[in-house]
Amino acid sequence: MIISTGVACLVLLSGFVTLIMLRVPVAFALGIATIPLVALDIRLTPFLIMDRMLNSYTSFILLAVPFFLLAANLMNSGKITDRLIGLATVLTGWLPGGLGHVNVAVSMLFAGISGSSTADAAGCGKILIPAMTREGYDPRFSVAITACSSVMGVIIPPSILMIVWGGVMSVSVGSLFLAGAIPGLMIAVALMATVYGYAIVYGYPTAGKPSLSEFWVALKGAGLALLTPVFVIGGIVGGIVTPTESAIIAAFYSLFLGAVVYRTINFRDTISILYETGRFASISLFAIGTASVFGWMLAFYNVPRLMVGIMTGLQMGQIGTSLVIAGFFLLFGLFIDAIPAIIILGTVLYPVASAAEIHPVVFAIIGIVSLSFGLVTPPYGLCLLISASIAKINVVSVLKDVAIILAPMLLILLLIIIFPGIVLWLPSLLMPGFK
Amino acid sequence: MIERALEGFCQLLRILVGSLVAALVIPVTMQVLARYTGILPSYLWTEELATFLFVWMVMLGSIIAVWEGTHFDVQVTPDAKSRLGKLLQRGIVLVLLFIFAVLFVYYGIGYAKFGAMQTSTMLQANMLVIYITVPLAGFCWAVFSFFRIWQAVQEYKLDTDITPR
Amino acid sequence: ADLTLRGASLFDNEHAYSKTLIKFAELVNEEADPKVTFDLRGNSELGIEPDYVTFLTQGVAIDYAIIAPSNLARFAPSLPLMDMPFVFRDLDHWNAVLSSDVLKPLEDELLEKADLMIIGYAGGGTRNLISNHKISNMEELTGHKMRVMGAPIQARVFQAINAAPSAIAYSEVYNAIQTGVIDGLENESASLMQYKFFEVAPNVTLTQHSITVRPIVMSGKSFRKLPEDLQAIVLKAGKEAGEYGRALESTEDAEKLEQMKEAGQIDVSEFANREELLELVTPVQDAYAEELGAEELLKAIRSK
Ligand code: NA
Ligand code: NA
Repeated sequence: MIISTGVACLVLLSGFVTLIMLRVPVAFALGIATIPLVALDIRLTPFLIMDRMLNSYTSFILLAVPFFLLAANLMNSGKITDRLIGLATVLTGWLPGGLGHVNVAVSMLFAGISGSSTADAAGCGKILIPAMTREGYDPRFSVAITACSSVMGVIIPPSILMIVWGGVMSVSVGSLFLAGAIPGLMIAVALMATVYGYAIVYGYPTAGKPSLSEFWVALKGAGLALLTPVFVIGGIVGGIVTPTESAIIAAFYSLFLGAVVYRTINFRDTISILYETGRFASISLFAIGTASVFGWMLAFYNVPRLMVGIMTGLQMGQIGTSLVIAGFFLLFGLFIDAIPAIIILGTVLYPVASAAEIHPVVFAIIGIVSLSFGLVTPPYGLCLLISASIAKINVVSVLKDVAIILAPMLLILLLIIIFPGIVLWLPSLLMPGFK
Repeated sequence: MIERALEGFCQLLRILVGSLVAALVIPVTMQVLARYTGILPSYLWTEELATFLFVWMVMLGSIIAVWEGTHFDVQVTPDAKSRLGKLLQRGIVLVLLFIFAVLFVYYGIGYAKFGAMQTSTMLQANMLVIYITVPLAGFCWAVFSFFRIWQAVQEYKLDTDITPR
Repeated sequence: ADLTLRGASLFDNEHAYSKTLIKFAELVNEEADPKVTFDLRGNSELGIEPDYVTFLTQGVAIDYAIIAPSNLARFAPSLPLMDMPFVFRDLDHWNAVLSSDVLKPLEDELLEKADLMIIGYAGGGTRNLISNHKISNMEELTGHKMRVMGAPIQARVFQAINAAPSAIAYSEVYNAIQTGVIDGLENESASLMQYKFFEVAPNVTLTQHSITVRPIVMSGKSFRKLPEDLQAIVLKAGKEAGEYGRALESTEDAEKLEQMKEAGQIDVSEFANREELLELVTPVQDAYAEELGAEELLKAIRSK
């Protein structure tokens, strides 16, 4: 038989939610949820499930995922992350709620080096969550702040999501990188303000005032690592590498620092880092494959087209449209990974954004910031899942703290929407010919 | 005994996945170097080779994660309390995985044949080299999830605790 | 019975390919009784051309689409021959070839190997060099880093004219040119406009090296399901829709180029000695046809 849009939508979404409740892994739930439609609709066959999945892996841009992850894992194993934590500690540890601020600050530093949020949550979380627990912080707060601060990884350049976005929608990745910097810093400020609030309410300790010499040692220790963005962004802007290829520069430089300069990584470590990178990258990439199947099914049943039709019909103006766009990305981010969401939803909303005269770079940043929040929202929030598993606590128990920490971040998103100048200022200042 | 054999096989996959990540670096680095040195010719097949290695990495990685139980799930519903409840909670997930895996094997063979009809444009390789990953992954998921089901049932029968994996 | 034919297009309904497919539907329904329902899915909703090829070979999701020959090469390696660079002298030659049955051997190969039927020929975009600096003679072309399509003949032809073909995924082309990783690509006006390549590569050199051939492809599986009288109608409509599409795109192509020129988006320049390029390319074409065992075919195309 031929299934109507409404029924198809219902089957897909209710199937997916049921499977999630049964605790089927998200990657498989996305695939299994499409089986009933394939079985019932004469136009579809199981061939499509396999083909849409395998096909999504043949995109060259996705190579940025394992490469940035490799760079981050090399940083974590090569104790470069520890050096960043050291620097973050002398910079912010003396504030009330010291380790909380350190958590935010190190994520900011890490974000400037790595294009991946998940590696930040894993790397910094492994060190900071136990440390915070020892100093009497509520583990739920530690998990929530680790997860929420790690979203800066994809907002502050470099960023895997911006590479994918720029490729899929013909937008300059260089200008996206610049455009993400200020919103990223604003989120950092919002997070630190929240930590301050927590510290006052719960009486969290400071991590002590650093002496000038301690400050100098920490800065020297992290100095070389802080050069990474210069190479990555310089490589792109200088025309040496494409954005995807730039990820490999980060990996080589981290290897150079770990193996040659600091001598913290030996050959054996490198082997296990390669494996860990492959293992983790393929878990998240595999989910991209099944999400693509799910997304394709939605498209086959005309769901995105109807959505766009309704939205363009409403004529909500620039801010109204931006709000709705952010809403859609936030909604999609609840269920699927950011990369397939860009591919499925970004391309659909693009004409809506241009009709409302939203600047392509502003549209991109609204999309990416909204999707990055999806990294910490259940049911499928990878950073939240990773942080919670480090602390060995149930995800549901941290949701209240995530909500509290996320609220000011949403406010930043709202500011970007109302004042797009925040996004456009830096690229228009630094990019010749940017309009 | 069976568990050790499967674990051994999985160890082999781990080595392969690590090697694939290392191998991925090569074509992409060559692609960059080819543009800047007169020494290397312009390798137009680097992009194709990179995506081939990439597909293998993802599919083999998905197999390992089924064995280790590390594909991400979401604990929105409460943990089962009784032993039977635990068996069911684990069993349902594994059975669903098993069914999905069997579909991948059954239809994946036809899919691989479809791949065998194609030749990649740059490397002139038979596309079976990547399409075969679909039934292969399906087969391994099926074996692994079947073994885990059997294991959970054994634990239930033997009155030992049902270990979440 | 349900009589619905489903099509797919990369573009919105204003693009020549979509218009051609819409025309195809109209032409079928002028004669079909009972009428056929057509469902054309545009805007790349269901994927991109290589995906359509997969669907069509399997007879799932869609029944017809317009496909570039390079995207059929995975199944039938000779197909890119039909619009390889410098094979057509001019629009008249191109039209003469496509209105004849010279390409029949390629059609047979595609049907045999992939169960795909070519029911008509659209196309008509003229492909030119698009680059970030001006190229108007052999000297400026030498060592020019450019992205070419992923078929070996493409790389060989551009290597033969001393350019430096480069491996870049299509999705990275815009950014690769902007940052100077490569200097340009080659494409037709419609794509230049659609993907805004002029923002980063505003120089168009009229090498006119290719006139595109875009077969209207129908799934053999879908075709055989149709009643016999309808099969005949579909074949006829395909052919006529192709003619319509060719006339449409070859005019639109020039218009779009002019439009971008007038908007100040591009700078158009001639290439000083196009004959020289042809001399360099001919041996490569010959060698390629020989490898495929298609010398006769190439001769037939040239002599049209
Ligand atoms: Na980053
Ligand atoms: Na953090």
